[in-house]
Amino acid sequence: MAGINPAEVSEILKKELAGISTETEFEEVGSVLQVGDGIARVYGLSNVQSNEMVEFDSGVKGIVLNLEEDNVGCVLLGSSEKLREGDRVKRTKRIASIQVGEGLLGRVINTLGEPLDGKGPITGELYEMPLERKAPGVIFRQPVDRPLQTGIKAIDAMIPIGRGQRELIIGDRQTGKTAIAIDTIINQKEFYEKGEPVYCIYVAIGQKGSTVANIAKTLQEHGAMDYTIIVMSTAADPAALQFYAPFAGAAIGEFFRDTGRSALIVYDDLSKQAVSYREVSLLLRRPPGREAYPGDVFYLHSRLLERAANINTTDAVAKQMNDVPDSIRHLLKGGGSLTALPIIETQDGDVSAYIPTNVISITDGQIFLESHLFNSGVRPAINVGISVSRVGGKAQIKAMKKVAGTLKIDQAEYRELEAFSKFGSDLDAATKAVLEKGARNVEILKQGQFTPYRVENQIAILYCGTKGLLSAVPREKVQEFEREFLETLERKHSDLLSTLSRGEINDIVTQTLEQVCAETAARFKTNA
Amino acid sequence: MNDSKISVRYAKALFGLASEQGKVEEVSASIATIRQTMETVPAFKAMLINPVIDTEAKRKLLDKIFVNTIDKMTRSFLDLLIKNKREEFLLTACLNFQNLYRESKGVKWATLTSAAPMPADAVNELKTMIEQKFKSKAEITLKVDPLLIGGFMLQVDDQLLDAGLSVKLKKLRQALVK
Repeated sequence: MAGINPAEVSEILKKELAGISTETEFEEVGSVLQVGDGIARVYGLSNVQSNEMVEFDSGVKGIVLNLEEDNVGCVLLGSSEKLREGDRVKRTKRIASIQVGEGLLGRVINTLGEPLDGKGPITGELYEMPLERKAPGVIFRQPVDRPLQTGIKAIDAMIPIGRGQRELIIGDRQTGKTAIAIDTIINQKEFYEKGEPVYCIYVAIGQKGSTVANIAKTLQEHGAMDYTIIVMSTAADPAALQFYAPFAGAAIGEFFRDTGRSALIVYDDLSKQAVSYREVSLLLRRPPGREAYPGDVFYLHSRLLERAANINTTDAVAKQMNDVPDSIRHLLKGGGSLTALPIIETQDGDVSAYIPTNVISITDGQIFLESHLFNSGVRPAINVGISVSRVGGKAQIKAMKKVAGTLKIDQAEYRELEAFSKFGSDLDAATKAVLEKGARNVEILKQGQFTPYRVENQIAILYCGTKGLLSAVPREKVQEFEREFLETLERKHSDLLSTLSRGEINDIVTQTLEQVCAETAARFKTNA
Repeated sequence: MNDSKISVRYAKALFGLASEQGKVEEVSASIATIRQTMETVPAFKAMLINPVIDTEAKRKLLDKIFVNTIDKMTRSFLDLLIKNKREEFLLTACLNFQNLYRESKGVKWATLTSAAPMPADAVNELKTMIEQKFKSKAEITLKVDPLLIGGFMLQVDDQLLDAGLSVKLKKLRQALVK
């Protein structure tokens, strides 16, 4: 070992010391009156602001939520074990915020922005973004006009999602809610590789650590972690960290949105967030309302989801945006978007419970998943009849709009007749045709997990379905037919697919599609 | 529910009555005694807020605890709190009362904690500094706490000037760990 020169060491220490500010100023302090259940009541701190971070003697941080006449109520962002009555509390004069930057991509972090994946500290330049921030005003927004491709046929065809939209995914446990969100994230790989990335943020609220680890692994395996950030607060974290997690995710999303890029955020799930907010509110002795949720649980979700937006493409307008944190003011750019996919778990299909109805009314549409569909093999188990997208239609590419335009109504008619046909046996030819076509469309809309479809492939296969070209193919062979049909197209007609991917559709394209379809279908007919 | 209104109201009532009858000083001294008891003897507070002990028993216990140490008015204030089952607000009521008392005096109460006893001229210097900064008269209570290692710590209301050595060492440790 090389010899250490003691003089050198003390020289280094001396330099370090010189850099430390030992200036002392008056600080505002208070003392803990009461502590427990993740809540502290503090006496003093007479000038503290709502949502400000405070620091306790033990180093634990807290956020001020209640300002009362002679005390303030804070939620603790750590263990309350080391806190004692009479401990000193310091103001930090900083609003609760998180450090955001490109370095977060590929990482798993907690609500405070601390890495949890053991890959060392977050690198690169970081910008401070407040957790709570007002949503952009109307002037800085523009209508949804670009599609967000989920890669799921049923969604892209019938419930299209646009960039900047908020589309709720709702259903009972074990109906594939998370699967839809994960598939959507995986499908963004295509755009990442093309150099027009949609950055994805997956916020896990109150889930098991192992579940999140699995999701991270899945994303990694599909090469999706390169453009994804996972924000997680497990069921074991303090309630405050759980209900702030979506806000941390939104702050990260806003960084991409405001710097002119597209981002997608998944809140999995907001019912658990509402539960942890209820816990904190009740401990802070706020009056309970329906289902014991506090009165502002609607505002909790509406202000969060309102932060999803499609920002005006004009840079000059975007630069004027309201409530921009100083840290990113110089980076402002137009044309960004933040799309939100909140998830709500219902109990036994009850969508009229308090939280589901609230979030349904806030979002721009919802995707209903049903367990009986899931169990009968329709996966993704989307109930097309009651799922809607209120704004996404405008963002659909032209070819898709043309091909899938009638699909939703066709399927509605099919389901009506299907129920009716169960009563009698004699059906006229027209009814039979509708039933046959509908059943084949149901087969086409089935799709395995982690297998997103490119939009051109979706259009091609949906064309066969909606035009009723599959009448010769037996129902149970539809998926096999689809595979061969798409293979043939990719092998022989890649130019056709690229035309479709641009959103164009013309007579030559449709003729070729019909021809290939007929050829492939003929094989299945003879095989059958 | 906004519970803090309760303690503010009790404190105001006590202060109002004390100033009407010109007994502010005695009451204030008694309140200080109670506050100190609450902060130093956890069992006292536990007894007060225990719902199993009935009102009469609490009264008798108080009689034994505060023999001649608190004045009559404060004693009846305690009885009122116990009768109304508002014992849990006693500490905050005391704090609010002391605030009202200080405000009425127009004097800033400062606590000066140092590792070793401070020389009188240094204390005076600090006193003038406080008086200039807060534009009000100041009275300093001196405390000695060897845990500070060196330097001093000055608290005026909820403003704290921490010039203790222990804090500087803590900062140094944090900086070096980084």
